[in-house]
Amino acid sequence: MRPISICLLLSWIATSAGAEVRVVATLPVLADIARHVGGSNVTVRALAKGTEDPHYVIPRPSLAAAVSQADLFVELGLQFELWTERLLDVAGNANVMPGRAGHVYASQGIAPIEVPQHLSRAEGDIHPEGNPHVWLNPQNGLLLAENIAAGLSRVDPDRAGDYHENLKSFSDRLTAKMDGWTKQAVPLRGFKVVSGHREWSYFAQAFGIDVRGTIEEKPGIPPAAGHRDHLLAQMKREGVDRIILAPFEVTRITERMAALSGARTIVIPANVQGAPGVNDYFALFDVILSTLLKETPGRGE
Amino acid sequence: MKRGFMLILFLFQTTVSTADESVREEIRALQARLAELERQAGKPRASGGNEFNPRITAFGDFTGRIDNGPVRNENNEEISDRFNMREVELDLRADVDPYAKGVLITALSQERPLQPASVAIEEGYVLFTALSRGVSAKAGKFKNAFGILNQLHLHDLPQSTLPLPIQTFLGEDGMAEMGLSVHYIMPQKNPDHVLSLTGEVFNGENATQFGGVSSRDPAYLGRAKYYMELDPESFMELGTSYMNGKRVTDNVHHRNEVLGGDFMYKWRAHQPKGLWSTVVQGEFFYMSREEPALAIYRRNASGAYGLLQIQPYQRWFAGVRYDRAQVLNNKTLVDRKIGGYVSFYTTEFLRLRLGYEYQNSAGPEIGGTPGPDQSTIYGQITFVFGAHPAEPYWFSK
Ligand SMILES: [Zn+2]
Repeated sequence: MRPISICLLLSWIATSAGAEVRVVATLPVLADIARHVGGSNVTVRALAKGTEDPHYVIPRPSLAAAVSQADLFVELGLQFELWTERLLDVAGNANVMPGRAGHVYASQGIAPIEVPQHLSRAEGDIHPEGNPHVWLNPQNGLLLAENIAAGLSRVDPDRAGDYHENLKSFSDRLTAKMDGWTKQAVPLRGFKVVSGHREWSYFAQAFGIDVRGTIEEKPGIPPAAGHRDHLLAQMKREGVDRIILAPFEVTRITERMAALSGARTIVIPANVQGAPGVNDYFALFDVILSTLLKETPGRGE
Repeated sequence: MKRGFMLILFLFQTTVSTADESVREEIRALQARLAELERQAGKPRASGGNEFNPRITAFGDFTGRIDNGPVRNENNEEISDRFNMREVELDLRADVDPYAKGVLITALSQERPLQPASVAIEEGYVLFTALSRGVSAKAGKFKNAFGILNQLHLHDLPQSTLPLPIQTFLGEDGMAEMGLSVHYIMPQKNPDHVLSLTGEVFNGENATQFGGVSSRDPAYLGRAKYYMELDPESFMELGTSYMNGKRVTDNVHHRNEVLGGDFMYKWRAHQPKGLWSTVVQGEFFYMSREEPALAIYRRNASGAYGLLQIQPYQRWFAGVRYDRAQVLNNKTLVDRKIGGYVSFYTTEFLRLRLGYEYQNSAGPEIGGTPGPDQSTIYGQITFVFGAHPAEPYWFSK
């Protein structure tokens, strides 16, 4: 009897040790980084779609159900995903509540830029702790990956070595890619654009494009006529003739702005899965850069 | 340490790989960023030791109405043709401990300036969040999970008023009782389909259906909701609710049951070119009540409403709703209402709404509504300040 029960016990340990860690991440970009860091030890689900505006995800029951079954819940933080509280409230998953081992704020340690001088709704309603679109600077990707790896190691300490190794290879690859991107992006330095929403600040920091203004008046607030006229005058004065938009920002408002200013619209993905072929974090920058480079003055002319 | 090392490694690799001017410029930019990061990292966090205070959200609901005739409320005060600060609601919530969260929603209202203001606890409960995967529970006073709109507060409704069948079958302000509520999300095989169940036991103090304040019989409620994701931009929900309690007449306890069905379809464009979103929704109510005094021994009544809402522009919503409800103690009498509304959000914190409602009442007054035909034009301003509110997920997102 005894050897059999030991065998059973061992096989139970083996299966439980080999069980996949269920990771649920709010954004496709975080899900992708979790896939790189988790490797074959994890199954990952992203709550937001790459094509939708991540500020305004509907906290649907299917998302709550996913959170209820998660071993690790990854959100960006910086009050970016205001829609997660409702999910966590009903998910009944104690392990992934903020402050617990299974919860990760992936932006931890990243100092946000554009932090409001004074915190007030009069400053717009969706970037209260500064600009949360940190993943658009690949350098921040290293920190996102570190925080996710730390979370995975907390909930699955037996395979912490795997996560450490995966993190290293992800970081090495990202560092190498960053080198290539930096060289590739040289023609983008000082490339003047106007964006739909204030989400390219970190990208600008990394690659030197010059975002002169946003069509939104303030983060989350559509333009009134005064702002629109002001921006049109500025674009004319500064010779800005390109508008960069994430796919979900191609609306009648931005189309009208393009028509009024005569500027050309460049649609670039702002998230993993945000456009066909943008299947991971590396492809995201490959696609953004190649799309922008096609539009750079002096290139292709 | 590790982060610093990564940065150095990164800078080093960048330095050795190329040495032309633009790359040096790049390094200078990165060094500037590093300095900025170090400067910001030294800054204290913005929250100044208030973390243990509850998060407070205040909602103001101000209306003005124009009526085709005098309208009186249940205290026989005229409420037609005037402005009304209908409600100021305070929503306080905070973690109680790692296992539970506290929620307190109070409403201050004053229908007429000379009347004393009233304070009501709309909801006050502890929410247990750490019981078991998929399980959450409330203990306290809460809006009962009967159907869809009953679970919303006045300021979250898509229109200025509650649908007639909810007022008729659940009470003028809907139903919020004291008791226990357990919600369970069933584990799913298909991530796009979710079945959730709710069970409640509460004091049967609702005067519309149960024993009123003197009730000594608990009431029970069960709800099942099936959610289907149709595609990334749309979903559908089907729900059914049932509750059961007792009324007391002449010291005899009679069973009273209400059955409900509901339906909702929501579509929201990820890349809005024409419409931004559409909601189609309906709820149905059926009551069956023991009435020993009647020859047939049972009395029943039913009601329903249907709602269509579109979002033609980012900040504009428009909709129509049709209500129908049989009078509870005489189902041959039917109240009907049809209304339309347009809402404009300056931001998600300030909403302006204009609505029109036409009501044809066959029965006695409901919600202060008089005689057979009544037309009302509503203007409504709803504002939210303080912490970001917890909102319903289907109307205005
Ligand atoms: Zn943003």
